[in-house]
Amino acid sequence: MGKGCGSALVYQVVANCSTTRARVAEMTLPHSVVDTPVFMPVGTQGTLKGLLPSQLVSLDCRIMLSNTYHLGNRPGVEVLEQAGGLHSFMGWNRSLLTDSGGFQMVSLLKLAEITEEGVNFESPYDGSKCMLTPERSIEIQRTIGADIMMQLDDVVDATHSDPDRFEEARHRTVRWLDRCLTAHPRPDKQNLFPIVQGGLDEEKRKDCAAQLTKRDVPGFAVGGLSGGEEKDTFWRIVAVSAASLPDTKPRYLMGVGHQVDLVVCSALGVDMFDCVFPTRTARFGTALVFDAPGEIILKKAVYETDFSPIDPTCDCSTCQTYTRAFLHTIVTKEPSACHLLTVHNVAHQLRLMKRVREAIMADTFPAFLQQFFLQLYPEWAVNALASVGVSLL
Amino acid sequence: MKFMVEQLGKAGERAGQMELVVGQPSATPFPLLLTKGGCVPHLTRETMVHLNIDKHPVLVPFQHHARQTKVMEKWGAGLASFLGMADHPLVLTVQDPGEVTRSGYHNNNSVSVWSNNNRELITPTRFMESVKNIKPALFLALCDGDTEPGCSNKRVSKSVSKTIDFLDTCLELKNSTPSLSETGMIGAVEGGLDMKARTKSAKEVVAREVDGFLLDGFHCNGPDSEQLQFSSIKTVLAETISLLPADKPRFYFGAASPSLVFQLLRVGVDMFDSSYPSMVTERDSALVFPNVWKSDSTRHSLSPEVTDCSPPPEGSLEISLACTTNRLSFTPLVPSCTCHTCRNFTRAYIHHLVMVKEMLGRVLLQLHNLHHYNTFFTSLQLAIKQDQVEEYQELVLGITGKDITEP
Repeated sequence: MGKGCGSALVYQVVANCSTTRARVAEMTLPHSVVDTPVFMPVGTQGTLKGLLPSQLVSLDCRIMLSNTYHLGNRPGVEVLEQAGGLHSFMGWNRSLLTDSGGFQMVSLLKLAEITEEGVNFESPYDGSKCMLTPERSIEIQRTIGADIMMQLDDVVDATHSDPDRFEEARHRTVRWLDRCLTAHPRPDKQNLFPIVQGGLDEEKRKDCAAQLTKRDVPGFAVGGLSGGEEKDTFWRIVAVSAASLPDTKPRYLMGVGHQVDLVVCSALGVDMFDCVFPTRTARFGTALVFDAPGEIILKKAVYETDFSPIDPTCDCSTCQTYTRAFLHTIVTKEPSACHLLTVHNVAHQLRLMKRVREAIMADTFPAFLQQFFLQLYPEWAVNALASVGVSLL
Repeated sequence: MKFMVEQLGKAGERAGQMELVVGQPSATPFPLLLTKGGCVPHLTRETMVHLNIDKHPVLVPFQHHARQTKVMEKWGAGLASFLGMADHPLVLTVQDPGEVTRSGYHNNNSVSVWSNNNRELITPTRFMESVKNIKPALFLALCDGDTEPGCSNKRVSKSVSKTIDFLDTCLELKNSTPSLSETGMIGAVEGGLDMKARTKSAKEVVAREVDGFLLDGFHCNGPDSEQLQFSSIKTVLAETISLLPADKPRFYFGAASPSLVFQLLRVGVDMFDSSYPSMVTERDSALVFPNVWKSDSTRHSLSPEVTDCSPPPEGSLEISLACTTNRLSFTPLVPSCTCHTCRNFTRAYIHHLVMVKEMLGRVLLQLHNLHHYNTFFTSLQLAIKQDQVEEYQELVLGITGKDITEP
């Protein structure tokens, strides 16, 4: 077993919520200090959807994601190596997190076959037979040079029908973790996180977490929960998984999520999140807001003469300059519209997490949660019910 | 609007000052920053800062805003502020020089403009109603420039007569609209390649109270304007300009590559637009031609970006970032360029973005190309003042002599 811990990550809890399991911490990584709970925007192909790195710095984004599968193909390992790593290649000096490539493979490729050795697949470019092993994944991630790398795990769609598959997957995930740890050459410059699997079975999750905790690693991820699983089950598994992981290390819930997911899972003890939703929905002309219903579809006619910004309380460059009416004229038509909405949506998510952290620090997180949900409920319903003696708090 | 020619080069090039907004002079010749749908393509207010031209005058085609009358009326504060460009002087033209203008669809009382595949019939009255709400610093009177080479004599003559009629109506409405009393208006000179028609058009426009002239009707905008053969329009253009007063600016809209710019300067054009660099961006390419004029006698007054001015390989004004030779090239687009892109990103990275079709590729190329083109014009201003345009042309194009034959 390789040594997983080094000085590449220092995790310091700064405040605990006295009611929920939320906590605020300072996570020091090689390229930046990250305040948690944190939302990490996703820049799949080594770029965050049309934004300059300087714009992300203006938003005070401290860490973003990139995808090993995509980058390993294009630009490829040779280019990244000669560029001196992804930070240098893309001009981003703050922290990066890369996933292992496994998830994309399984979800994007028609013929991905998982064996004990690794993931067998056909190259989408020339049809040749390829194999992604834990060792190869680490090698690619090492070349990319992210501050946090993920182990290659045996990820199974949470709605998969066969329970034995989950059993097999979580055991293999542990074995693959050990292979990743052995292959990880720079524990003091890059961090490697294992991923808790186990489907929607609480016991399997607990056991998997127990196995992973035996290894000397700087943090943990919880995987397999960003698909279409039923929400009432989803939160229970998140809760169990988080509770099964040590308090002294960060917990990263992969692929989650929307605003509601972020605040709820923070309360359940999760520290790190990522999701393509804010950047993806920006491309379709949707802006995120705190008021009901949580988003604005700007191409709707109702915004034609709406001269307010997307969110009057937002201080992002988009809201400081442009009105909904103007954005209405360009969404889905001009590339600049994507950039403007991406800036706002990322700002929105970061601002949400900042509010979450501030509330936890002030130990007013429960009140924050109540206010957050109240704001997301349609006002008419709140008022109507209040009129007949029902308070939604 | 105020305009003054300050210096003349020996071949007829003019360097001057234009004040679109009181107290904000811009040195000419320079390219107006072309917008589409209200944005400089791929850029936002936040990223435009990197172009380093404070209050850069913008060119807004009415075509893209023809269907925004309702919102403009309600907004009430003019188009520039609606677009988040309140501090940029706004010049309103009719058609977008960066996009092909559909030919045909004519009638006597109006011009057709296309907005997102929808056609709008614009009469001078409707146009001026919009101008009132748009509140530009300068606008082009409604005109009909649909006279591609090869079009019928009737078409040419119609475009001339309609344009004169429209000009008169626009002028009348402008003069009776108090809020437009300080707004500048330029008139289009039409006539295709027919010297008689051009002469008529020029004389009529000159007789009206206009602040400048647009040399219109030589192409139908878009990529075709980039293919324009100057030799085919030179005589008519030069003759036409000789009929215009020297003390008012001459505008040319359409893709103007460096060689066309030199040629247009020599016949006395003052103002351009940035459709050319934008088109270069759209084909995932970067301008690399030498754009800095260095002259020993005034070395100290130049901006700090002067280092390597050697001409690019024969005939190359631009490089394609899709080209695989860029894959492992960890140098900037142009090593001596000080734009945000060249200071922070490599050809290899931009090549990657282009290959995976990521939007940032065009953002970076646009920032560079507009900067490169603007710098070219700053150098032109200097070269004219030093009367060394011919030398500068040789540097840029590697060609001596005044006559450039197109390849």
